[in-house]
Amino acid sequence: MNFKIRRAAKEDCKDISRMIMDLAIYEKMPDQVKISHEELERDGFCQNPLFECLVAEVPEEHKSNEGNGIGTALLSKVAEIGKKKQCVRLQLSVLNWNTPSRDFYAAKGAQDLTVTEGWHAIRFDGQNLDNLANEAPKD
Amino acid sequence: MTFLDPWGQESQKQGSWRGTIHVHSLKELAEYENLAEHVKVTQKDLEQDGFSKNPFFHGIIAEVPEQHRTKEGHRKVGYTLYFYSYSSFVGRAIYMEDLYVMPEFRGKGVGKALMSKVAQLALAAGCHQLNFTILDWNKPSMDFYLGQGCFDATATIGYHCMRCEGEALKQLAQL
Repeated sequence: MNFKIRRAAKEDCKDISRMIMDLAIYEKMPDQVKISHEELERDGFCQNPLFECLVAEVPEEHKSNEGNGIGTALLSKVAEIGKKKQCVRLQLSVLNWNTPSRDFYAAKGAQDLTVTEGWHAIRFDGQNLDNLANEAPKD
Repeated sequence: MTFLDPWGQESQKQGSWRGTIHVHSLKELAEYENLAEHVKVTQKDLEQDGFSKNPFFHGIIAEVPEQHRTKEGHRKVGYTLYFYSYSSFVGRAIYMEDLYVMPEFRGKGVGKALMSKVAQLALAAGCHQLNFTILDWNKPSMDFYLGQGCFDATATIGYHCMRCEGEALKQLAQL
């Protein structure tokens, strides 16, 4: 399959937002998606962007399909960009029941630090984050 | 920049704190986590990456007044290193990479103050999450964090932290 990996442009945000929702549905947490293409446009394409993004695009005549090397190409491109900036790690998280993805990442050489070293991902959000912030010492 | 002492006193202190996150603090944290041989970054790396035009990280220091300095002469007794990240679900987020307080200054609210400061900065910057990782055997830290109201996304939702580095990262970049 003929596909192209390129840097995302502002105009891609509607499609990226569509795919974020697809991903959230796959991860069984669609109600957790709180942002739309507008926040992506604002935060990814301003003077000092908060994130970078790559998109995979196929020519007009191709339908979507799995197993074409597109996921590998996207992941490898991130690794290449990282290496160019002297990054020494590529980190991500994956859900424990998501066997196809866990197998994919393991095959690419990723270690599961939760299993091997016992790392747990911890998060503060919502009211708990507000409460924590309210206890900060005053400047 | 506010500096704190462990007895709840705040002292206002102006001025730059260039290069104040010392490698020795990172090494102390690494020793606590039993990962001492994994510290590869140098003083120079920190200065370059944290204090350039578009820094890769930010840091906050906890400092004690002269009369409470340690016998080795340290007044900087804790730090946190964090950077801005992004959640495709909720938008802006902060990732807290390190939180450390020297053993003799623990239990006095220093860690809490450092973390609250990060949370305050997170909200001021429009962030909706503060994320970090912790080792499962590190019960004192786990209890401390859970006591502050966070949740364990690995235990509750099943997130696993994955990493690609070294030879594997090189190979991935070449595909």
